[in-house]
Amino acid sequence: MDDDEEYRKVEDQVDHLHRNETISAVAEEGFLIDEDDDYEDLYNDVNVGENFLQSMRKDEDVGFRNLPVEETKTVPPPPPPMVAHATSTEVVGAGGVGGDSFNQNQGFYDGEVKGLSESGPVATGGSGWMRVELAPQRPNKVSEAENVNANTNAPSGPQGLVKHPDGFAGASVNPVNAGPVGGTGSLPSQSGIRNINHAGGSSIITAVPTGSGAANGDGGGTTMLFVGDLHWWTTDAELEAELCKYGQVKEVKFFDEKASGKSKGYCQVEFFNPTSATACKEGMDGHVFNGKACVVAFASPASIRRMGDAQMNRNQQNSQPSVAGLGRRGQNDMGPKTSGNIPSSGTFQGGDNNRGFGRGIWGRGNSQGMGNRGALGPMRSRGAGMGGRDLMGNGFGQGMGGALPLMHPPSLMGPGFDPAFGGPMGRLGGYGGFPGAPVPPYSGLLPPFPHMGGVGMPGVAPHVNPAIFGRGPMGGMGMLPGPGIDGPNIGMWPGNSMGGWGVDDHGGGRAGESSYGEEAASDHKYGEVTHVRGGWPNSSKENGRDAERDQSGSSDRRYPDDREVANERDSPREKEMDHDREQSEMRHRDDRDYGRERDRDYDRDRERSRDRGRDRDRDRAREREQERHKEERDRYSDHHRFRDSERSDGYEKGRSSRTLSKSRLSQEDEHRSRSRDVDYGKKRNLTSE
Amino acid sequence: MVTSSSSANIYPLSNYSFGSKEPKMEKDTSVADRLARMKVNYMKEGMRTSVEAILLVQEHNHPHILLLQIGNTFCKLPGGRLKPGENEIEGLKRKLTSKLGANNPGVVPDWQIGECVAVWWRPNFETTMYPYCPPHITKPKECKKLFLVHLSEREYFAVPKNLKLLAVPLFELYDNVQRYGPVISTIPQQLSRFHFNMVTQ
Repeated sequence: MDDDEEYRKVEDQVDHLHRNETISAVAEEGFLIDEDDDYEDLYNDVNVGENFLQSMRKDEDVGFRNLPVEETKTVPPPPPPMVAHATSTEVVGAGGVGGDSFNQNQGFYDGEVKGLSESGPVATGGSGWMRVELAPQRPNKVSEAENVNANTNAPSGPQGLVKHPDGFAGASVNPVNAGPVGGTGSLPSQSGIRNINHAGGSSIITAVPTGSGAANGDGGGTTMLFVGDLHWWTTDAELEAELCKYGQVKEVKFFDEKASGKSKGYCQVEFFNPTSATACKEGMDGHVFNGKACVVAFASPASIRRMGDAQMNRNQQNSQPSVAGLGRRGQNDMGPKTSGNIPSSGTFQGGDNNRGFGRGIWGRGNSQGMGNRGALGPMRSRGAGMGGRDLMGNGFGQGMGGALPLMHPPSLMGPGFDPAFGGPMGRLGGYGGFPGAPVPPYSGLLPPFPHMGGVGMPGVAPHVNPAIFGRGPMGGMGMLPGPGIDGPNIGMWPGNSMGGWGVDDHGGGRAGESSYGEEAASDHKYGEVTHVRGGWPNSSKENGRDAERDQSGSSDRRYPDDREVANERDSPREKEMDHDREQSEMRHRDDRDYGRERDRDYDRDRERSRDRGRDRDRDRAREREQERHKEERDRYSDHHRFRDSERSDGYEKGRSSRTLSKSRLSQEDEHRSRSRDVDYGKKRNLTSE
Repeated sequence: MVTSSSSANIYPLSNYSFGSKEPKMEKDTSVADRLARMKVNYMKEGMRTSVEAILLVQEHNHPHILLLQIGNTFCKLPGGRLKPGENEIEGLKRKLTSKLGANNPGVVPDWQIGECVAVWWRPNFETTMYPYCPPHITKPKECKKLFLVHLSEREYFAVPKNLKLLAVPLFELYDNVQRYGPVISTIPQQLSRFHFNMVTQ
């Protein structure tokens, strides 16, 4: 169907977005909209700009876009490709710049082109990200915006400009290009192409081969440094104030958690001049920012990520020794993914954290893990393998595997993770761990519900009210400083009333689990968890629901980010069948739960209706209201469906399309209501309005 | 006129009429382009301030928000970027007229801009925004403000041909980040403190 196709296309595109920054002509342009596209980059955990994402993608060869304007001046679109291939393999060697290049600064050309820049556009080539920068020689050149060191995300690198310094020679060591470039024949050509920066402004480009592995720690690009062990409240201004003492700063890129925006405590600093970088490394290493000594090291973009991950892990582990085993295991699982998964590099950070319970998950619920939908991609597949419910239920197993013994089984499932949800699967793995660690407050129940905003709520259907999740000491959950909370954060977050978070939303504390439970059940759709069967059924139910929703709704989900979610829901589908019967058990909750479901399967409705009928006496009033809401929602979701499929007429012309569709919907509603149980006579009345 | 009362009248969707006008194409064709352009503008003008309008109508006794749908996937609020130094309210009126006003100036609604109900910050040149400026960021790249706009009883809107105007109920937005993103999906929370008189006729 058109819609699906288009949707898929969009999905793909969105996915590619990260990689290529290019949207194929077929993409809808609306897709990338003006100012409001806030959500497309959901998976880009690290706010280092699209470039980073790209950099990780090996095959990208694309026109990189991110940037800048400046680049345009000279960029010769051309050659890059050729360079690219060659370089990627060769250059890498090590990551580049690794040791030897150190001296080179510029470029790394000796012999092997370490620094080969992959030509501009691609920049990423295979090895990760190549940033081309011409640093040493022309510090001034950077006229362009790049100069700004403010957290510009634009990586100078990829910008597509590969300016190979012809002039490079000036300072550097042998120029490079000539040949050695690792045998990339292209090199020489490069010089032809590139203009050295003189004129204009092209951004300075130094080839910084990121080389996947490389980075031996020092020498990454010699102009690039990793500055870590910062507090999350240490600002870019404070850092820059200190950095400028060592030389002119080209760019400072902070890594932050996608879900919350909070700094991860490390950043990438780039100087124009390698000597500045060296001076900074020596002079600033250990400098105390806000009471905490920082770490400065040479690094290439790839190694920065690694170091960052290591820092995060260290922090996590400091706070969660008990999950060490878990973490490790998770790590194994994640390991491969991490490397392979670009956008998630930041994301994985979250993922890794999840293992440990996601730093900050406790604290905020927005833990990186939570926020990372992207990361879940790979995880998801594992989850799928898990299959049904057994234990891991939602695929927790994936990360959890060995860790399981640590956790309370029920707790794992507890949270009603909805695997379908944005690929929480991966995250779930992390979550599973949670209970293990802190345990007590949770009663093994739900994993920290982490997310208030709905984004990144692991395993919870988007419309589930996260606050509810916790049954029990949500407050406790959130608060638990132990697991997953960074040292410095521990003090802070609890202050934030994590507990309050959930609490506030729901009127007060979770303390009364039971009292809340009812309400929660009614509020959430999938909430429950805690009841009955240790919450598993709930989760499965939820999964099922979401899966359903996803299935039926996939065509409706136009939002670009949905693709991840949609994809990830595939696995839960298999579970959904099993859940039907469980759902009937949950009727009480069902009412509400289903109320919110947007693209539900009507069969399920019927079943539910039946169940509800039984309960009617109990919650008649509430049911009625819920039904009505559900009807409304159904109608609306139908409305969406119609809308989506209707590309013509009314909609496009901007007419009061709603009116048109509405009439259609009402007919639909009529049908639907008739199919329901008689008990719902009232509903019919409502729908016929 | 900025009103700060916490109650507002909202009228049925049927009170409003919709026509169409020439397409209003997006300036950027890809996210990357958009971010690149944003970067350029930042260099020239500093932090971008954008304003968006929450226009409410009522259906079945429930508030619905008017969203512009681009293609079939993306919904956004009417609004846009302010010119450097431009007043927020004036700028929002300008943007609303540009997006939804008829070409004939005589028929353009007299927009009643209400209070600002939400502010979102963009810390980096990326698509992510947060309802606060992250603590380590001293130079956010964009600040987006959402204003409640009070529609009068009857209005005529002209929708660009390449866009669709949808009236989306609040319950559809609530907790639906995947479909609408964090800014729009949290509008129900921002509006919860208002009392809306659902005027029927």
